[in-house]
Amino acid sequence: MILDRDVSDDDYDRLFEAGLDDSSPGSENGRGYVAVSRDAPRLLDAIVSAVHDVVRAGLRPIAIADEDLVTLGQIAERSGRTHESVRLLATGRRGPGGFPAAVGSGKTSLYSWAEVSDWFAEKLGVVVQPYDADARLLAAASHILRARALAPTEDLALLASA
Amino acid sequence: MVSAGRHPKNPINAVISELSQGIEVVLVHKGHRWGVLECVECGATEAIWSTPRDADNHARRLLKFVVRHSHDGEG
Repeated sequence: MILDRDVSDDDYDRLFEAGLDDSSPGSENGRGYVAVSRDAPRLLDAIVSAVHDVVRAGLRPIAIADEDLVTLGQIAERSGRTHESVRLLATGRRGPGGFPAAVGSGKTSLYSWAEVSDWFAEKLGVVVQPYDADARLLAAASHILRARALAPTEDLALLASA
Repeated sequence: MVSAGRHPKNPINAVISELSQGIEVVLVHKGHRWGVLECVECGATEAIWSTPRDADNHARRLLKFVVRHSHDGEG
């Protein structure tokens, strides 16, 4: 989540105590952000709860940037396979091999979703669908946050119901 | 750069002990922040909590910062 200003020293503790102890606040190019990894029944619930927590900490999210790095577990969810199946594909012990290289090792290995989804398409002829829905929801949420930062609430309510 | 301290959570130590030259650990020890990761090239920073909700998830978060800030293409 991109914030409307940079994070101050006090902001870090406010964010932690507002419920973002599962996330990592940071600063890039003079702009604050909170990198969120949150478990929830649905992606929608994770987004809404994270936005509430940031607002409760006294900051204002104005956009959501999606990211490309995923774990083997996330690859398994998005491809509809078991974790073990994906692990075997990744190590080349099953399937055509050539799985995209990981970053990190052991429990913290990460993969580029762009590379992995391309590999599934090219090597297995499989288009992994679930991610598209997630990406669209994140984009919609980001647009809503941007709109809230640009226009008064009452105007947005009228627009939303038009 | 060599990290300047040992974090109490092992998964986080696993990440900060393998940093590339372009990422530094800066100790903070203030409130909930144990330290921050800092990109030497662009100056971006990200908090390292002393007591994250889940150490493995927090370690993965920090690794993503490292990967994002591999400006010269090296991990």
